[in-house]
Amino acid sequence: MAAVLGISGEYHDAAAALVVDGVIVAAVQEERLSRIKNDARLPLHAARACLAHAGLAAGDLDRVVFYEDPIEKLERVLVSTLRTFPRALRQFPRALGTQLGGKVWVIDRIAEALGVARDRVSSTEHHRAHAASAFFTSPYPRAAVLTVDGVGEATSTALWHGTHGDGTQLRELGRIEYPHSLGLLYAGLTAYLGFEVNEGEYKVMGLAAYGQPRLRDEFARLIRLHDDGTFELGLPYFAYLADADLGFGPAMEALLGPRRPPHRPWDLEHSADDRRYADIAATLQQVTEEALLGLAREARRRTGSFALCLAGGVALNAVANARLARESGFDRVFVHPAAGDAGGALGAAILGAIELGDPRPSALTSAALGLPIDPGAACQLARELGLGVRTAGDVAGEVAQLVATGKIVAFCQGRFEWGPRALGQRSILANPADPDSRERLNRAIKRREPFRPFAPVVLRDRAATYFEGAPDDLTPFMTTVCPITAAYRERLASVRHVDGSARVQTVEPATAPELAAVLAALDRTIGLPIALNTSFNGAGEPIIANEIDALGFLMSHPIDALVVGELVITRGAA
Amino acid sequence: MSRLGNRLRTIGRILRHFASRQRWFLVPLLLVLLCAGVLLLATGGLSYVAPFIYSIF
Repeated sequence: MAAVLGISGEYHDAAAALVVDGVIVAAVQEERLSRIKNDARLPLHAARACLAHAGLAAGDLDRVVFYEDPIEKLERVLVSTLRTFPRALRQFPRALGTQLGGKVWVIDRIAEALGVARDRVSSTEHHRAHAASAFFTSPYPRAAVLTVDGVGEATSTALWHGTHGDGTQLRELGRIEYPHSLGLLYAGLTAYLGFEVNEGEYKVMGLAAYGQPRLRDEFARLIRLHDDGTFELGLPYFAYLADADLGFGPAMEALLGPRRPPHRPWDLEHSADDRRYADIAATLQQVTEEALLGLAREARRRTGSFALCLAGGVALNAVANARLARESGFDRVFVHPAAGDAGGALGAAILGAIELGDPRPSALTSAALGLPIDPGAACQLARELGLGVRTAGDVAGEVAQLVATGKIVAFCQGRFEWGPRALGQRSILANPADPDSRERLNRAIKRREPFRPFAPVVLRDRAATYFEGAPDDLTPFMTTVCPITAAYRERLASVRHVDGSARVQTVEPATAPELAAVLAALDRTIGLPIALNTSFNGAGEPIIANEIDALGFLMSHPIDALVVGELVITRGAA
Repeated sequence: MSRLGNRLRTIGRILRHFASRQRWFLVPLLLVLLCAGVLLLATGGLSYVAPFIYSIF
C-alpha cells in the first residue's frame, strides 16, 4: 500500500499524477494551473494540487518517479553531439543551458522543491512510462503495446507485451532508436508547413483530408518502411540532429519546394501553393499511417495478442488510430487519453506503485482526473462581478434549449479532464445541425483555420446510428475518427470533416451523467442525441481549469451562457 | 549542505553510469560540459529554448 507521485516535464507537457494504493487519485497537467500553454517547467503546481486533492502532504509519499532517465538522456545528447561533430558544435551553448542548467539535476530539484527525501525520488524509462500509461489503464488483461513519439532517452518507438495475471509486467520486445523517429518526421513536416512544433501536428492531420497523397516518390526518400515494421528516415533531409531551431534541412526544401511561411492565411480554394501543401500533409499522413500499421502488424505477429494499446505523441493522431482499429488485425485498440508526454507522469506513478507491491489500477472509464470546479465560489464571484446567476431546476433541459436555439454554452462539471481533449467537463457546446452556430463559434471564439473541423459528442448507446464503427474503446476519449453514416451526413455538416468523418466522443450516464442528460434532452429537442463539443478555451490558451478562469472567459468572449454545476451564469441580469 | 550532497550524489551517478557502459571516451566531453555547467549556474544560465530542443538536448 503506497502513495506514488509521477512527474513529467522539462521538455514539454509537464504533468503530475498521484496513485494511492493502486488507485489513480488525480492527474493534472501543469498548463491548466499555470495558464501557460504546453508549460514544460517542473509541474510543482500540479504536484501540490494532486497531493492537496488527496489530502496528503509531500512527506506522506512513498515514492516520486520522474518519467525518464536524465542520465540516459545526457548520454544520448553526448553521443549525438559527437556523431554530428562539427555541425553540432554551435549547439554547445544550448546543450549546456538545457542539460547542465537543469535537466541532469532534475531528480535533485524535484526532491528539493517538494520537500521529499532524495532517496524516495527515482526515474523510469520514457517509453516504459508511456507503455505503462497505456496498458495499465486499459481494460485488457494482456495486450501488445506500441509507444511512438519524437524521442525518449534514445528511443523513438518501442514494442511491448503487457501481461496481467501471474505477474503484472511490461516486457520490451523491440525498439527503434533516435534519430529515426516517426514523431520527428511529423514534427519536421509540421514546421515545414508553417505550424508550431508540438502544437500544430493535429492541424496537419486536419489539413491532410484536403489534399491527395501524390508525393509518395518524394516521401520514399524521407522515410523507408521495412517489411518487419521498422523504418529509417532519410537523415540528409532533416536538420534536427544539429539544429535545435529547424526539423527539416535545405535538402527537404529542394525535394518538396519552399517551406510555407508561418501565419499566412490559408486559401485552399484559390492558392495552388496551399493545395500543394495540403498534398504534402496528405502524403505525410498516409505514410505515417502505413508506418504505424507496419508496427502494429508486427506487434500482432510477435505477441499473438488480440488487443493493442498505444501511447506516445504519435498516438494522438486520431485518423491513424482509426485505421489501426480497422486494419491492423487487432480486435480491440485502446489509446491513453493523455498519450503525449503528460501521460508519462501517470505511467511513471503506476510503475512505481506496482514496484512497491500495489495492484494494477482499474481500467480508465473517465478522464475526469483533474481538480473540481466549485459552483459555490463561482456563484459568489459572478455576483461580485455583476453577472446574472441562477440555479436551474433542470440544467440539462435548459442547456439543450439554449443550444437548440443557436446559443453557445460553456459547460463545466466536476473535475477537469486528463489529456488534451475537452470531454465534457470543460467544453463549449453548440447545435451540431446549425451551421450558423458553428460559424459564430469559430469567428468569435476559436478562430481556427478553415480546414479544422469541430467534433461531436453523442450518447454511447445511440452512436452507431450516426457514426460508423462507434462506439469502441477509443471513442470515450476522442482518440479516433468515424465516418458519419450516410443518412446524417448532411444534417451533421457542422461536425463533419471534408472527408465525411468526425472525431467522435461517446458518453454514457454512468461516467458523465450531466453531459449524458444534456444529450438526452437534445434528442428530445432537436431529434439528435449529439452536441458540437469543443474545448473551453480561447485560441492559443490552455483549457479552463477553475471558476476564475471560466468567469474570466465569459467576460471576455461572446459565449451566451456559462453553466457550472447547476448554475446558469450570463453577462446580463438573471 | 543537503543540496550540495544531492548534486555530488548525482555527479557520482553520472560517472558510474558512464563507467558501467564503457563510455569512457565521453568523459572529456562530459568534463567540459560539467565545468561549463558550473560556470553557467554561477552566471545565471541560459533561458532560450528552441522548438526542437527536446529532440537534441
